[in-house]
Amino acid sequence: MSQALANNRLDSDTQFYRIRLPSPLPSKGQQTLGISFYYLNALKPLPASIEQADKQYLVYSFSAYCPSAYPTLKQKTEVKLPSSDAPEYTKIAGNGETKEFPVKQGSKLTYGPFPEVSAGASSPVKVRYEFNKPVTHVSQLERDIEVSHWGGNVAFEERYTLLHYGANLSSQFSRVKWAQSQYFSPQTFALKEMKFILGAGSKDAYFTDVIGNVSTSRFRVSKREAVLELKPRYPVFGGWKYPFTVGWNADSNNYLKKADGKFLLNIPLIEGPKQAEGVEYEQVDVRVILPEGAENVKFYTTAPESSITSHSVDLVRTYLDTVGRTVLTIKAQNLVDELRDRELLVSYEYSTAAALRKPVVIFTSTMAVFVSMWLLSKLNVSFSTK
Amino acid sequence: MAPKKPATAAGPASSSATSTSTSSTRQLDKIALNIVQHYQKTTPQRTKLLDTFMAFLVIVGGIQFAYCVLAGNYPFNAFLSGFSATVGQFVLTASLRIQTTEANKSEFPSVSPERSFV
Amino acid sequence: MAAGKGASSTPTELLVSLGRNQSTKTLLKVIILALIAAAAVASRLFSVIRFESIIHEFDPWFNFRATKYLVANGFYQFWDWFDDRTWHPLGRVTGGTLYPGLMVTSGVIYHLLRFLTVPVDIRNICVLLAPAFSGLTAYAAYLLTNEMTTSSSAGLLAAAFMGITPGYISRSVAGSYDNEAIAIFLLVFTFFLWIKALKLGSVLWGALCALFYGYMVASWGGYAFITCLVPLHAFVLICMGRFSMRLYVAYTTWYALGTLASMQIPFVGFLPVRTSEHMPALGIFGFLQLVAFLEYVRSAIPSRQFQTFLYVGLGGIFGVGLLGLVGLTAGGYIAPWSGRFYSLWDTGYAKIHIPIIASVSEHQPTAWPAFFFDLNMLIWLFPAGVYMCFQRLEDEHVFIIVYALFGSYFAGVMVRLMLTLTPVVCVAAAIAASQLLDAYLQYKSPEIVESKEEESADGTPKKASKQGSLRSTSQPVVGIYNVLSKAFIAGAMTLFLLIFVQHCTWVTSNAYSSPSVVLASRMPDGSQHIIDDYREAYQWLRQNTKEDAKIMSWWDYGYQIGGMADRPTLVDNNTWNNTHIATVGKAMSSREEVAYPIMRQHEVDYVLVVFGGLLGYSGDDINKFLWMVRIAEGIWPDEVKERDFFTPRGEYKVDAEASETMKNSLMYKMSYHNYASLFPPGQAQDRVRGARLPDQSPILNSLEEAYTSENWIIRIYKVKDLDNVGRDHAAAASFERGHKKKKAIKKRGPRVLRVE
Repeated sequence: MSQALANNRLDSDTQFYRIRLPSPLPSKGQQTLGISFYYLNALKPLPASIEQADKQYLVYSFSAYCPSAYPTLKQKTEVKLPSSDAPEYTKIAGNGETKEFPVKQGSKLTYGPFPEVSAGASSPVKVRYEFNKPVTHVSQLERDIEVSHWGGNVAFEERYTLLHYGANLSSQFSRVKWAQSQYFSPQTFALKEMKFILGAGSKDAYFTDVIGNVSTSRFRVSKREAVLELKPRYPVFGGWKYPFTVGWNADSNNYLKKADGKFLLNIPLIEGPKQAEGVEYEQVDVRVILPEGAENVKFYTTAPESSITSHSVDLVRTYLDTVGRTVLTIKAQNLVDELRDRELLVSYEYSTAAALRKPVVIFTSTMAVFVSMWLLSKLNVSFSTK
Repeated sequence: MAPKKPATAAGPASSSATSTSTSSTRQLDKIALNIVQHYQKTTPQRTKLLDTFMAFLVIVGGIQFAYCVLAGNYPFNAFLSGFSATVGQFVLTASLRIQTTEANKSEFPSVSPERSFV
Repeated sequence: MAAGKGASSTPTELLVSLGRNQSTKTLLKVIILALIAAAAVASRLFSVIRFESIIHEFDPWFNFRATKYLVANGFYQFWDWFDDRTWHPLGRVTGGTLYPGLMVTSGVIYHLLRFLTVPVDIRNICVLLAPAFSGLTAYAAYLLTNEMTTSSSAGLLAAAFMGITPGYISRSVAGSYDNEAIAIFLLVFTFFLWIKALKLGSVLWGALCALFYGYMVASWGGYAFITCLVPLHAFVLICMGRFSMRLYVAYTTWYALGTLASMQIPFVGFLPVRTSEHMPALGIFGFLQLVAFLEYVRSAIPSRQFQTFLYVGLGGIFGVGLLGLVGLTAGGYIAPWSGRFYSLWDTGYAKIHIPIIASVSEHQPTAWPAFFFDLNMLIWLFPAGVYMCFQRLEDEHVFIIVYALFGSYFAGVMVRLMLTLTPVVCVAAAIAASQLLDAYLQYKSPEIVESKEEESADGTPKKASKQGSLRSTSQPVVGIYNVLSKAFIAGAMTLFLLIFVQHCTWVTSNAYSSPSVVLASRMPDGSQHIIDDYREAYQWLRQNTKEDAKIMSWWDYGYQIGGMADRPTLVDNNTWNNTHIATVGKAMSSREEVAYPIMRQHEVDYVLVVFGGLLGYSGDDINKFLWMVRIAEGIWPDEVKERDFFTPRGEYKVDAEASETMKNSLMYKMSYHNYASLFPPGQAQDRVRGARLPDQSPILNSLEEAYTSENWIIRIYKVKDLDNVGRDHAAAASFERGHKKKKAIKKRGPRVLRVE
């Protein structure tokens, strides 16, 4: 049970959280706490620009000590790198039998164990390591989920503003080299493919960008899952940008349950691309568009509470609406790939009268048009000539 | 068939003045006289009202054109709008006059002569 | 396609038995017309189904961009739109140099749908506008044909023909968002209104005609066709001694209001009183006043006097008018005919004087097979229909004859004017076909036919009398009343109609449904493979270059770059400034040392070329290169010479034998830069021109390759900045290369180091 403290400032380096233990800790008692948190924008390429065929190296700066508001008796920091190729890392004086830290074992670097460290102490260290994969950053994700009771359909659409935060190209892009490297050494730090794993029963997937459909996508459906494989129009290198849109439909039975007059919608909060190297999301706007006339909207999400910045319920008018559809907007920030299974539960009430509103409105307005046309045709506006 | 008074006033007068000299001058005079007589005889009073308006339009248009020739066409769109307004009004009135003339009844069966006056 | 057949079977027994009463007939007609419209729309959707909802070709991209601007900024902003993202650094007064009809139409539809809370993407409106209007065109053709003949089947046939004939489909498939998309509907409908106005002598119809004429002027430069055809029709009628007060009313109403309407469009402005194209209409307008006056005079005075009057008056006025026209033209008040117009009379004119007009493929003279390709069986029914018009020869038939004559001539001169011929072909062919069908599809034997004709005699006196006279000359029961001949003709016609539908579908599907932005090819296993290089490169430009990076390319791609890449361009398809285009042509066709200062002066950041050598895509820049040379030569005859680009034997070659000028030209270098390294030594090949290329790729000094699309169709080069230490680019580049070589040697051993 953790809770962000009210006096936290988002722009400050340190954030404080209050952790409430399920039962008070007795004197001299022990309790193990696992705290996991993610950093965004923590990796910097070094060198900042490289040749197209070169390997990319990233630098991660952190403190060898765990940030803590209490004195720490014993601690150790392990850094697990994606590869054993770590040409540079900060060495600090060791203690005990090890002369200097870190101790390198394969792709793992270990700082510590350290003796007692005072509260708030830090020891800045840097690790530079090979990471020949894209550093994918989504600066903005707009995710729309539209629920249709008449069609028995849930439509998803996601608009990504995707950037590559890795190393830039030191000289211009060369198609010859790219074609050759594709052939001989496919591993590259350019982003050339993304894989979306969608829920079972998803269909009609599309992948477009601002100038139309991108023909280099594949959509494979199996019993258990549906996979949308995308290739951007061009390989995305460091410093390049590729905004795009994906969307698909799904049967509402998979997501929507009805229980005593209430509807419960259970959808993943984000369903971004599943990449081995991970994706980070800076700003995520999830809009759940409920049917016209849905009331009493409540939501609950298993994603970290601290990442949800705001939420609101509004009306939006589309497709021959009269009063407008209920829209739940949830704004979140700083999400990562690992949170892609977190659920978003939305409950709402939707009466039969509301469901019948649209057909009735359309029918009566069409009839009104016909009747008024008929009346007009009966009207005699000609001069009588006698 | 279609009487067009303003042209009667302007057309033959100018052509007779410029192009002929001796015997044909007398003949043209006679023609002009005939036309005027015919006009006086056959035109209903209310149609004459329309003709007056058309004559007015011709004069206004003529003045504008003369100004354009003499003083230059500087605000060309002003001249054009003024001139085309008179020309347009003229031809539309002429059309109305044609349609309501009794002699053209066969061509415009659906048009009532009262159209322009109700 | 069902509708085409439905229309052809309408006059058969089905209608005879069913359609006794008027309301059933009307209902059937409405259903048939709706089906025809549906068929017209459906046959234009090939490209949407095969590819996607995308804007095609070149010009539509500009129209689409302008429409987006209109929707985003409102009408008045659009009207005053100065676009600084094209024709850098000149800019373009876009609002005043376009025909706004198309954009405003889509804008109105867009806002209407928004008002009804139907959120349709503006792109989809633009893509589907042309098919939607083709349905309306079919209806307009039905109305126009109904004015020509009393047979109701003719109108339905004309609608069906108009709906699916490839000559019209070529410019109105989904995605072909061009002015013609709505202009052909307006053309046909304006003609219908003109005929209606002429027939009734009605001011109301004349005013409606003027209104739609104004809409037409707002939509398409081809409005001049109406401006010339209607006066011509009036003139022919007067010459035939068919002057009537109806003609006076219809024409003067149309002219007075229509000219005012047309002058409201900023792009047209004062042209109707200033240019020679519009003078026939003005001349006929004046002439009609005169004729009307003469008519009055004739009714007023004895005929002998009238003759003298006629000679004196007419001679004088004609002389004054001619003198005035010549004087005004000489004095520069009336512009002489424009170049595009001259090229209509002399097909060789453009090639000599204005290469930029000649360089557009749709301005070429039409090849003979194109007529058959675009109109199929209509082309031989067409003269028969015109002959039918001669037989009846009412005022409206004279119109069809005049239209047919001029339409045929213009269609022969310029490929794109096939479009203006198509409506009259459809109308005339429908008249001929329905005449045949009406004659041979009388199910009943002649006695009953006679009684039926008596029935319909009150409504259709002309037809009845004509048939009657025909019957009196020929012996009954034999001839056309023979069951065998009936069956034969009906069967043959049905077959022809079916073949026509099949041909139309085939042509539409194969020739006119490619977006040309996206190319389709077949994989070995038969599946469709899409080559999307254009959008790949444009998207790259859009996302990864500066917002105001200027792109230099040949003008063909200007609109696409503006629309898809959203970057400023130097020249585009609105070829209003020949010198600017020639400047780009000069930069492309000169040596780097000449081209670089030109590019610097125009602040060019990137240069885009289209190269089809790898894929065998023939519409690339090397194949268009001679036009660039010619256009540049037109302005700088001393610096660019077309002859220098040919080998001594007069061949246009790109391989090792290419002339030095060719090899040193920027275009050549950009196209083949680094291309040979894609192949094993000695194997480099250009698949468009079937040429084997030298192993050594041309060396570029002042540009560097920035992006090349997957299939090499688009190559983008970045213009290098000035050298930091003030060397010229050639020196700097060779130093770079030399430096690199030295570095490589250095690694081998310290010996070299000591030598240095």
